[in-house]
Amino acid sequence: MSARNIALGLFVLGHGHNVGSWRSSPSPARDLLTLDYYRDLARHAERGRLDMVFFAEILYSYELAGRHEGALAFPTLDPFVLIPALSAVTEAIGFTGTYSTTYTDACATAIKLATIDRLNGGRTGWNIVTTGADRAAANFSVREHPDKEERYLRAGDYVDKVRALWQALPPLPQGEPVRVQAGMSPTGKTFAAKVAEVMFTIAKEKAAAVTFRKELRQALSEVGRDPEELRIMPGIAPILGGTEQEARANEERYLELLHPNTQLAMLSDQFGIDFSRYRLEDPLPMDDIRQAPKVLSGARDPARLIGPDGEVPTLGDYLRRQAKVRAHNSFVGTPEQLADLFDEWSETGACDGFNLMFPLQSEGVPAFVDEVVPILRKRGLVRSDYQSTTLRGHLGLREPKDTVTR
Amino acid sequence: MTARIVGPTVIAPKDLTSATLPQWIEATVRLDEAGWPLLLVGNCDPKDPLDGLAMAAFCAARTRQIGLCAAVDPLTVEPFTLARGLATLDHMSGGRAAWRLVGSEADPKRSCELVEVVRKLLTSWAPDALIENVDDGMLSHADRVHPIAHEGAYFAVEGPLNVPRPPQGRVPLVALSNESAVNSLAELLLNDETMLHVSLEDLAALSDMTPTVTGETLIERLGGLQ
Repeated sequence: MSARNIALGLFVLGHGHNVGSWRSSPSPARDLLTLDYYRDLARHAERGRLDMVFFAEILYSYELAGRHEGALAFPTLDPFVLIPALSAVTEAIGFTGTYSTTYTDACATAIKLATIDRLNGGRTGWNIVTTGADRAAANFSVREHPDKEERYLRAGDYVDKVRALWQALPPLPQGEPVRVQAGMSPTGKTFAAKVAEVMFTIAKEKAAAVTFRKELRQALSEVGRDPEELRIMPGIAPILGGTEQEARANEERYLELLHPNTQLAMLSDQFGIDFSRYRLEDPLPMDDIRQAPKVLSGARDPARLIGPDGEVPTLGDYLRRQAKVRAHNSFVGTPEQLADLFDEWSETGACDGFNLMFPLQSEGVPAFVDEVVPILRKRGLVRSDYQSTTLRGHLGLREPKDTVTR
Repeated sequence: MTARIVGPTVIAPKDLTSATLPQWIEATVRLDEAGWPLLLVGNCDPKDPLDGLAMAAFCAARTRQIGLCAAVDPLTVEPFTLARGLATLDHMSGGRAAWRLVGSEADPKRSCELVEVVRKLLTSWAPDALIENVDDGMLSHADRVHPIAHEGAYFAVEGPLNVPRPPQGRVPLVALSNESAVNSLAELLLNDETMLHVSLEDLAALSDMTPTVTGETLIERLGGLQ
């Protein structure tokens, strides 16, 4: 058997990472608000011997100009309540929850994580975020969302405080919960080098991912950490099918779940103007867009809405094109082909594992466990059973007392 | 709007620590099977604290009917985070969540405002807000979810919450009758007659004195709003 053990996380978000995925469920609200739905997903992941289930955090409800946005405002539960509940109905899989260092108290977070780690016998991870969304400030008695530098400065102190509190408590099952981090900006990378044990990244190109991982491992050495203390897990959105043709048909079917009203709401949220007042067959209202309240550079530069030929697309065409654009790496193909991709990426040092972001979880999760995991096991790329009882153990990370500290 | 419950019905563990946590989980399953209506969980002991919401969530997944009242430290929690946690627990437990404020140094005025904001957030989604309209792509109804726009002396919270209204709506607040200002806000007041302070060793003796409780919601089961 190969020494490789590709780390695998299941990133659970609503019904899936396609924001229209709820439309395929006969009972979307009941799914999102009862334990059974999440339990079934976690048990599938545990059957596949995945390392962990991962939950994000959203600290506001979508709205536009003070009006609730019914096409985008999905229920997002508290991961630190959902995770202990799921821990009670699973045996071995780890759980990572996101909690903000900007809008929560370090002492409260330390106690929550320590309690959950005791309840599940050391299966807890903490995704440390500084919260990028300025909209959250209005829910936390803060006039201005602090800028990135200030947020990371606070995050460093916050993590030190949490770890010091953990050390002062009666011993925890895995020493400390696993520290996960997701920022890829220069500030985020510096922070990761100091504190992260798992990095959740965006990586669409293998070569760039190899470079990124090298840089990060080097950065760990520079702050006196062993590079083996870090697992880099890029997100990937797999769409599977028995044949390539079947997989492409599934992709088309998932795209149809994305309702134009949902896309309009996303566009409205992006620019801060109400796109539902325009007709789908008319060209994009470029004059209004350039004067929108939230015009930004980069991905939000209005110039990027216009095609390479200089022609302004209709709103409908733009939405259809946009439906295929994903922030994370995507994959459409057979289980064999996905196993090939995992094999290549891990062999070339592009990553240590993947965080799986299925567009439609009710189909993608069982398909992955039943069809991809057996291939990965046969090739010796993942374990066939858990070798440990803790998340730290699953990921092959040492307990903090055994590592060199700053 | 405060209910008074009659007879000893609420279990308050005397010896809940990280060391006895596994035994108290097992005990909770037995108390649930025996029909006890409410258990107080969590503590704010600075040397060995246990988060009440996390423990309640774990216990909820292993039990069917027992109410779980989470201890909350008002000094370290933001109302948005607390409301989100309580709403999640109430959904996950099918309407068995309750909460109480624990900690002696709390500023009573601040605690009262915390309770007020949490309640506004918990009810910021109307009961019929989730419409699941597949044809229009609308999961919830824009006119049935409202910002709370709270501006107080201690908190400024825009809202709405990002969790739909929990099964109980206003998740009941529990207070001890010897506590101060927040008492008048509580849905449920506990005193020495209603509370049983028990250690793990005492649990065996409880089997003879299971209270008879009926009712759909936790508040109804504990005597109802009067």
